Amino acid sequence: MPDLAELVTQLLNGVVLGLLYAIIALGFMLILGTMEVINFSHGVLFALGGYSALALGPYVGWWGALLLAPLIVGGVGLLLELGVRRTYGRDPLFGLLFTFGAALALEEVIRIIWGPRGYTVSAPAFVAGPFHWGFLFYSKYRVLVALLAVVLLGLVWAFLERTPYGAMIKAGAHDHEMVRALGINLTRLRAVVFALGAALAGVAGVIAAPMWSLKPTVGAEAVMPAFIVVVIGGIGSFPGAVIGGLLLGLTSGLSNLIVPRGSILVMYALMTVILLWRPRGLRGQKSMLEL
Amino acid sequence: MKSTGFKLTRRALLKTAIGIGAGVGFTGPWRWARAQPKKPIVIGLTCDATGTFADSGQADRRGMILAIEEFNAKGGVIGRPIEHKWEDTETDASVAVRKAQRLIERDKIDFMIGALSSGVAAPLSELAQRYGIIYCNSNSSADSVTNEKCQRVNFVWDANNWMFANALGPLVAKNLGTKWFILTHDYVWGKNATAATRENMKKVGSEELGELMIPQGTRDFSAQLLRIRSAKPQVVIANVAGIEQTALREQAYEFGSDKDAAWVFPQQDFPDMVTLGAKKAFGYFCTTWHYTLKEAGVKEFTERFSKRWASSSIPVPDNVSVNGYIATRELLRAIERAGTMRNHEVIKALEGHVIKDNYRKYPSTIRPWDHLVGQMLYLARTKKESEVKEKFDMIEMLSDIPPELAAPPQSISKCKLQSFAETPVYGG
Amino acid sequence: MLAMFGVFLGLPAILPWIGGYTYLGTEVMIWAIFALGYNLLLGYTGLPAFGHGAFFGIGGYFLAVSQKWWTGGLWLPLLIGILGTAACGALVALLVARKRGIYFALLTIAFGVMFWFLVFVLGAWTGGEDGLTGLQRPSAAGVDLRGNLAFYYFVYAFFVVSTIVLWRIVRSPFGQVIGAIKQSETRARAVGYDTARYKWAVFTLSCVFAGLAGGLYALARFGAFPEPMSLQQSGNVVLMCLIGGGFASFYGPALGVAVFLVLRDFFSTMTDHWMLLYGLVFMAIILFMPEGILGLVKRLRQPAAFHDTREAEAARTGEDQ
Repeated sequence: MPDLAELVTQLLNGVVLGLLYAIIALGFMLILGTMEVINFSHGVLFALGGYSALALGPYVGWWGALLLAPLIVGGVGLLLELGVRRTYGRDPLFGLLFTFGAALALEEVIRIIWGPRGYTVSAPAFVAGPFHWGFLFYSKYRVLVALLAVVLLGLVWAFLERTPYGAMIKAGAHDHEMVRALGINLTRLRAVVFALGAALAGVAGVIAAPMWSLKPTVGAEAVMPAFIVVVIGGIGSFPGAVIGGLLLGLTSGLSNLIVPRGSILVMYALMTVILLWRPRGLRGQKSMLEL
Repeated sequence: MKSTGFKLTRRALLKTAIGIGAGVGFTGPWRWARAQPKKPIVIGLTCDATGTFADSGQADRRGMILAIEEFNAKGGVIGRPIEHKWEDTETDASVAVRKAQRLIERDKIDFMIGALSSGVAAPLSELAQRYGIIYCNSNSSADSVTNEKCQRVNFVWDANNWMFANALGPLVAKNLGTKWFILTHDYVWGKNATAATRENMKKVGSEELGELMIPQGTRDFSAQLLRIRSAKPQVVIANVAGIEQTALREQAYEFGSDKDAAWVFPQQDFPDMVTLGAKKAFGYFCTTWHYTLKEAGVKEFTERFSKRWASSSIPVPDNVSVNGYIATRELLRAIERAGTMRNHEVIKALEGHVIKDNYRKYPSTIRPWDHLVGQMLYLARTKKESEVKEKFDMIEMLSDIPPELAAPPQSISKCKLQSFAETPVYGG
Repeated sequence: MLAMFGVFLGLPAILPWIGGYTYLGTEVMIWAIFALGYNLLLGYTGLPAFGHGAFFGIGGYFLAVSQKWWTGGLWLPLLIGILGTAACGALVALLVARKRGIYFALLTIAFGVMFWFLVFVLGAWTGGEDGLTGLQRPSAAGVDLRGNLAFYYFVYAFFVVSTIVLWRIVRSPFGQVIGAIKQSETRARAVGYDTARYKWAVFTLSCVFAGLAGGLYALARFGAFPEPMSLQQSGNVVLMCLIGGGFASFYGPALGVAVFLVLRDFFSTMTDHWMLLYGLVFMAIILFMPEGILGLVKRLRQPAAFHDTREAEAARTGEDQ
């Protein structure tokens, strides 16, 4: 039977994991909501972020990597978008397949540069190791992760809600004709959104790297939770992504405690239930995807 | 006339010269054709380059290629040069079968070497038996391949789960403690390893404080680490492999769990330790070899290997690559002894053979009843970071067990090798 | 169609000359059965099912489990493979028949993963990630199937039959209805068709062929493995249909399978990093040839008559590039 210390630890883990999932899902959702593209390469962009941290770490430290990696990955996103844009307006299947191919190619690029072996990334020295808090042992680094995630989410929220560009993105997600009628450069908007989504995946990769080690296949494992969070939370809803992320993280953490064999299955079961019961997700709005 | 004579003489001289030249030229190519090397022997290498065992798979292959190159430098085997053809088995049984099929049908391999994962070793050895192709499992440690799933054409060169558990058991109980906590990687290999651990626990009088299953894909070990901490064992036996082991170690270190108990990883392949670094590769484990051993031939082999593979990610030989090397070398030597490629003869040349220059204290024997290479085992620990002077010199050997004690006795073997009559003839 | 049958009939003779091998030909036919059946769903009804590899895998497991633990033999396990997969498909179809588009895709992914997971949970029966090996290929009507050539023609028979059956389905009134659903489900429903039931039927049918192909594949490899059930492999069959031109032609998937498997074979012998080439080819096809090879051929032959329903639809709703 799990005791209190274990329960609390798992809840905390669930929260940390959930926040991380939320960031990944947010980037994914921006792309999905604005361009109706299911970005299968989101996972490998996440991995790229982690590997950038590995490569840049010795030169600029972990904090430097935290700032630079999203720029790099965002750049890669921009390049990808040049190809993706040819699939706009067609069946979302094409966008998905294109990004699927990109994911394979990029994963192999990672393998070519860094090899198939695994790498470990160290957390910055001041947060390495555990800390005590009453009966609780917890990892200092994870607390940092949670804080960073909250700050990041706050920044993205502020961007979307409080800046004119953010408003354009939100509008673009809903009504393309109107946006164009208003004279906004849709092409540039889409490029920026893709880059932003990629950058979010990249930064999540940097943050996650010290917790999970790096291997070329790490990306494949990050894509599916992004899908699931978006399905649970609903496409096009910021609070939905956060709630969805937390929900997924907590379920994952708790099932790890109670029935460890099934924790992956539980994620998918959760998604299935939501899809069948509330297909738009908990907070989703109607999207063009339903037509 | 004089000039005619002279011309004739010169023409005759010319003709003779041409004649001699032509004669030499004619016999020359014939002689050359006779000395023309015979059709090369093709060996298929089934090694992983992607998937969980990618690093080890490449190390395995490096050992094999070195052995082949050394033989070719001496003129090949039974007068024939050796070629090798590699396929990436992707640590996946189904892919492995498909690629092996391709090697056999299209590349017409004569022999096959490789396999790290037990999932790959078993179906490939079955495939090999169907054709009669000799297969050397250089690095898989599944028990089944030398028990229920043994094959007449298959030879297993690495120590297996039973051996690791049995060697470790008494040493751990004596030196580290008898209160054990077990972590089991939730798949075939992990469960086998734990079964072997449990069997051994009874013999050495250890007590099991608890067990936790680690499903594949687990990235978060905080629950397990907390459970271990509250159980307060002296020893944690971690039958966990691959990327799950890496993540487990990371988090154990992060949480400080590495100080809670003596961590024992019954099997530890060196390439994985390089990934982790000494700090996170903490603990005790069982291994078959390390390049810092002071036995005959080790230093010189290490130099040869390092020179050849200076640019690879792990430029020193390790327990994985030395298995690949020795398996290949002994296969080729057996072909020499048999004097033919015909599989029945080569198998007979392998069975029972004693390998003296195996670069360790006791020689190994290729046991004829289950085709397992009976070898010695070492108990080792990872050095603390402060003790590591040279990048790859990360481990310290603590003690060892001779092959007679390390390898499973014939009495418990569940292996029934197919007869020679049942094994299709191949090669020759 | 006769041309295609003729080509495959004579293939084993030609293959060694072009660097191929019989087993590859067998694999192409098996996947072609799978892909042609799957295209009913993707190309003809417009339903993007992404987890279909799971059914392919299940077909193999049904055959393997029944042969190893239950009945042994050849025909009965094959039949069980087909029926078992169809039953699973029918069950899933009940749940997904009312969805479409991205939600349909996500649900099929979820179920695919769940089946994959099930294989591991039932590891005692299925052999877990090691797969279920040690299968037999008993003789069929007195012919020993253990050799590659004999087995090739065994599969060939199924290939011919499956193709003909699928052709009849597509040309039937049923085929017309699912085509209508692809164009516009709302319209089809407005005209009075119970589209959910048709979608259910198509899904189940595609699983029948998936089960057959899966069973044959297990026989081919003397074992059932979980590999084809992964998400990535499920994506492969979609690509196969696409390359060949599944949206534009009946034979598209078969051609796509051949191109895909041959390319994969070719690339992986050329370089260690074939996945890069593979991914690039993938991307290039989506960008420049989304209607696939046969679609391109058709368009070149009759530019005016070519009509990709998807492009027309997109043009209508007025999305810009």
